[in-house]
Amino acid sequence: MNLILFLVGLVIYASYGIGGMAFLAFSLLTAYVAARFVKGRKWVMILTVAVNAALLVFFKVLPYTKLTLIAPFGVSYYTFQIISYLVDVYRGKYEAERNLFWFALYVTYIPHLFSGPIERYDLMCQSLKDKRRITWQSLSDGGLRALWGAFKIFVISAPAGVLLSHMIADPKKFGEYTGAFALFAMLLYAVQLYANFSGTMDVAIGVSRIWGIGLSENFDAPYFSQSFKEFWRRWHITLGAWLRDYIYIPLGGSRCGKVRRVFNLLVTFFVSGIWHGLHYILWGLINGVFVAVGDKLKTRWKPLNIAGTFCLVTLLWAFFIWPDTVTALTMIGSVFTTFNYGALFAALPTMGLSAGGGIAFGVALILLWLFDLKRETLSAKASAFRPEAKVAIAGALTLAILLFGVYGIGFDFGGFVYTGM
Amino acid sequence: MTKKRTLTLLRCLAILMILLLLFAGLNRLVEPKYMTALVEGSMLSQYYREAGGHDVIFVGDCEVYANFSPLELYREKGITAYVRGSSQQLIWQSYYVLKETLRYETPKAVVWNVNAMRYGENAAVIKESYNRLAIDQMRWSAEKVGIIRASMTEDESFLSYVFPILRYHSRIYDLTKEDLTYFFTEQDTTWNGHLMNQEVKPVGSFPAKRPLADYAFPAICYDYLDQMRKLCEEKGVELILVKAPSLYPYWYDEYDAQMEAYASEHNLAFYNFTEMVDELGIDFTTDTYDGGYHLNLAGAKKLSAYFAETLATRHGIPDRRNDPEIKAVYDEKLAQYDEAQKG
Amino acid sequence: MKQLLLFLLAALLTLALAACSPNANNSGNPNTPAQSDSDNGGESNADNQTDNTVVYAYKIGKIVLTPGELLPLDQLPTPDSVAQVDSCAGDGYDNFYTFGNLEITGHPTAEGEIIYSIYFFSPEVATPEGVKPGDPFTKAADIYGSDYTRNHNTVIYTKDGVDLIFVLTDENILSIEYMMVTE
Repeated sequence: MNLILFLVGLVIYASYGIGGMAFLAFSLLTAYVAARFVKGRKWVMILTVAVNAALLVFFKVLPYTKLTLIAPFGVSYYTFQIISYLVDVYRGKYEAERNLFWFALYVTYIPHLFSGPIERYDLMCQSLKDKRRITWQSLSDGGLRALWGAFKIFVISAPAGVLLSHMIADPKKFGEYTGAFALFAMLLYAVQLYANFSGTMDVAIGVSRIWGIGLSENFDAPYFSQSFKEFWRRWHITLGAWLRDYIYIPLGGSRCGKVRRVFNLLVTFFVSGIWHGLHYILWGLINGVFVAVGDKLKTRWKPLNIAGTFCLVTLLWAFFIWPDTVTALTMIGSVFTTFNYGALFAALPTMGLSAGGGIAFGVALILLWLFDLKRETLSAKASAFRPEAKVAIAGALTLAILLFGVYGIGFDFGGFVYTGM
Repeated sequence: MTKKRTLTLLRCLAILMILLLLFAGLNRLVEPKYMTALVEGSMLSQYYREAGGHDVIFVGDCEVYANFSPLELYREKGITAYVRGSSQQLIWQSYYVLKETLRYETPKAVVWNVNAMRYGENAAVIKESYNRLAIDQMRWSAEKVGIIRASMTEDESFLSYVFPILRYHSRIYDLTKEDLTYFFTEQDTTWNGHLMNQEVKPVGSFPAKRPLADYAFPAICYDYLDQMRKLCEEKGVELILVKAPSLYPYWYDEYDAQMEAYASEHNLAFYNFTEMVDELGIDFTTDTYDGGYHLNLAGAKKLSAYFAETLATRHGIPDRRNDPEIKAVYDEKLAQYDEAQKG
Repeated sequence: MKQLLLFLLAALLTLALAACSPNANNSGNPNTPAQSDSDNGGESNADNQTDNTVVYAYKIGKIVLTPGELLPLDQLPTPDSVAQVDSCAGDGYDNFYTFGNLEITGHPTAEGEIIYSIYFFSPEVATPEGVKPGDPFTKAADIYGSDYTRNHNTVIYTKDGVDLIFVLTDENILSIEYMMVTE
């Protein structure tokens, strides 16, 4: 089964560009060989990490080179995994993997190359090496999880994208969509990004569950966070953990005094920002500041903390919506100076979704909100549902996706947002 | 397996069956019915209720289903005919429609309108919407698979033809009374495939007749024409080529020369009606419903009367008015057809 | 048997879910259609020689007609004729306005009628740069450059959303058309 997984993964990977496979193979092999010799040799670790990090920077920070044509798919995700592996082996957390196949399967496991989660080797390899069987339980649990993810992508993220695109597709028309429109855009983006990204995770985790492989959770209802610190523990959890373990803690974490802690946070979030791209450095730094001081802004009233955190996070998504810092800051400012809500409501019917489509989108959003609110009890209960209930739910989800999803000719929002970074 | 497990399995299967029925129902619900709006989409499918017993089958685009009226052919010369036309029917679509028709019956002659010879695989007129109008309502067969594969644009997927919900799911918000009324049934919107239009819009202006860099018909069109010809030969059916009398798009002399050459080489009859307008008695101030692109009923009657004579005298298409069964059917059709013209 | 059935079901589910496969062109920054446009603009035309001062538009006096922009009918003289071209199934129409030897196609949109194309094949009409039907193509190439695509006898220059199309016969210009680039 693992051999089939590996070969299928390679075939899918090749469909995204055979040129990229050369770089993937290079990183995989250098890490495998280096790990065999890294214990007691810091220079081996530093050199291998530096080479792979340099490749990542090359493909990420320099997007205009023609070499992006052969950029390896999922370069960030497998590079982070390789770096974590090398550092962990160097630190003696576990022994280097002797079997190239297991290591290759860990690096190239396709479901998490799309958008994560970023798995640690010791956790994942156990899952891969354990004798696994496909059972009705794994099929039903994994299938339901994946279907729920697909529902989020096609019935929530995609329609949000349709509305958002109306306002941001044409840079010449940015000026027409300020104030209430800008706020609406940020809210839509908050929904689109979350539904798309977490939905992708659900699909990856669900598909892996079908095959008996456990992947880490990457989202924990982050919009219910009461502070930025909490938000970044609940959003893209594995990236946050990676940054914490391989940037923040090596810098000293919170052990070296308040000033140093703030500095370490800012560096960590600087790295996070720059990983997204040069334009996001300010976004990263602002997040770092809010993480540093966020706890001091908390009130005793939980709903206010949640609403406040959500509002600030949403406003900061502006950096991802508009292509440059000045425009993003201008749009954020316009939310507080231009109150054209009448124009927004008048324009709604022309923004690409019919009234029925809008209602379906609204209902799906409410379902998502409810599910996130009750996720712990629901997840536990769902696993214990009778088979008939599972079949019915799976069927209902499938029909809902087919009927109310936004996909097909004329739509281009079915793709995953963080794909192949 | 224990009794409990068996019951669970049966219940799961029952739920699955219900879901599949629901899925099938939703597929049918959201797909356009083409019964009141865009009736061109149901033209090819209406044939299945009347398949068989036709001496002449017309195949082609709107120049065929607008300009030729089979019931006029019957009225004039007792000729039984059917038009298997669709909007912007491209030659590869004509081939598969013809192939499908020849599974249902073997007529004496097939008449194909050559206008589509100008449209190759890169033609600007190729659109997903026209593909859908032609193909959606066809019955599933090897020919439907063929026509889909030959016609699909880059954006389209084969699966969306198998499961219309993949293409038309957004219609769930735009359902009309027609979607429920015609969920199980279909009504005839044509007269043996002829789409009747009695409106009059006199001929107006047309875009400039542009000189082309290259008048040669695309190779793919010759390929499919050869295939149609061979198919007819195999079945012992005479292939007759026509150019319907439309004023636009322009039928260049260079196009005509190619069709004359092809017809001559393969011993086929070719009638260019654009050069016979006077002889046909067609007046483009009264005989067209859209300013000269297509004939209205008055124009179709003139053309059909002339062509009936041609089919009978030059191609030996028999007069079936002596057959009491056929006469009964067609007399009733003619009565309804004439009644419909009264408005 | 049970394992085989489970395996087949798992494979089917995996393939079905992979069918909503990610759009790899989204790699890089999340969800920024505007950004992806600017990414594409960065490396076009880098290696080609083009005259960047030429604008692909036709002029009637002071009126500049650019495909893709609104058709200023009220500023133009009365057309000699107007033809409306319908599709077979009534799927939209275009207006063909003839002004002497010039034909302008108008396409209705929600914002108004836009110029779809400007076409002429008479040697009495020339582009603003002085190229006219009947001229050798080399004259056009000298002015518009070598950054064009050629498909048999059709040569297309593209800039700023407008195609400048030369149809040739024996390497001489048969007709010239400015056309809006459509997706």
